[in-house]
Amino acid sequence: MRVQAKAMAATSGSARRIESGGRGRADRVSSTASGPAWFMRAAILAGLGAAFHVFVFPPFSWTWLAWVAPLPVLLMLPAPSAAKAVIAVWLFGTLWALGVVAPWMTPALQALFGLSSLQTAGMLLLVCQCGLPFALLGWVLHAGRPATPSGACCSRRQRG
Amino acid sequence: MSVEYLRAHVPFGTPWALLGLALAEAPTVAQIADVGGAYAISFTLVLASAALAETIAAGAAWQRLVPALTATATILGLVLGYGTFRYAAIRAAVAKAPTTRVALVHPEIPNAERLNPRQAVKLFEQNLTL
Repeated sequence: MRVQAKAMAATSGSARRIESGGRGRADRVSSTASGPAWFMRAAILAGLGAAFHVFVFPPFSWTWLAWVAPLPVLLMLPAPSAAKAVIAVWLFGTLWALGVVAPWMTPALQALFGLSSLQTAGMLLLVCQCGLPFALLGWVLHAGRPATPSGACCSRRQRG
Repeated sequence: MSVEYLRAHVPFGTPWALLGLALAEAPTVAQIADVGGAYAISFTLVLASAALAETIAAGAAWQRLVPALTATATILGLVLGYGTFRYAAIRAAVAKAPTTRVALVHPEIPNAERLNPRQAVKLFEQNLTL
């Protein structure tokens, strides 16, 4: 991936800028492009982002955290490929949905509607659909980022 | 912001926990909601995070972000300025407005009884006594 990044940068005439220490999007991608390592980083950021969103609302109500709550998700990107961007942001969305909804919905479903644990789990699976629009966000953010010199490695030709 | 709007309307419509709602009790920032609803507050918050994320990503080359950061600071300043102006106007209007006394009644009826037609008369009378 690093070799590809340099090759792409060279074709766009920006190799010198990237190799001279300019830490841009290209460097972020190339430094984290290996599969498992990238997914681990993305999963941690997804969990962190979801946790931030959960802590923003009651019972925690750390409202100041709202100013940086989207930060982990934004740091996930750019991803090495559109598919990875979609998966990473979808994971965040799903964790967010479960984190925000499950703590109050689980006891409510069981106490007020008498649902069994299995039925409650089914309802929570349904809640996971809230993560789907975030998958679209991942794709949009990946596809829409500018092919600037510092992002030369991420031009459309290289996306997987 | 678009994702929040999307998930609030499709596929099942779940407008839970919009990020902007977190600042409902921060009246200065929240005033922007009269322009674009809770989504406008979310936009403000995401804008701040995006600026921070880009700055972190740029590292030593952060100087190239000066125009973008300036634009972000301007927008945030406008939001806060509008909020300050609007909130002051609202407080002034509230101070001048006539007052009246209202009461809220919550009968705390169990869910099983609330949906039972046989309980309707009893519940109606219970509400009347409150």
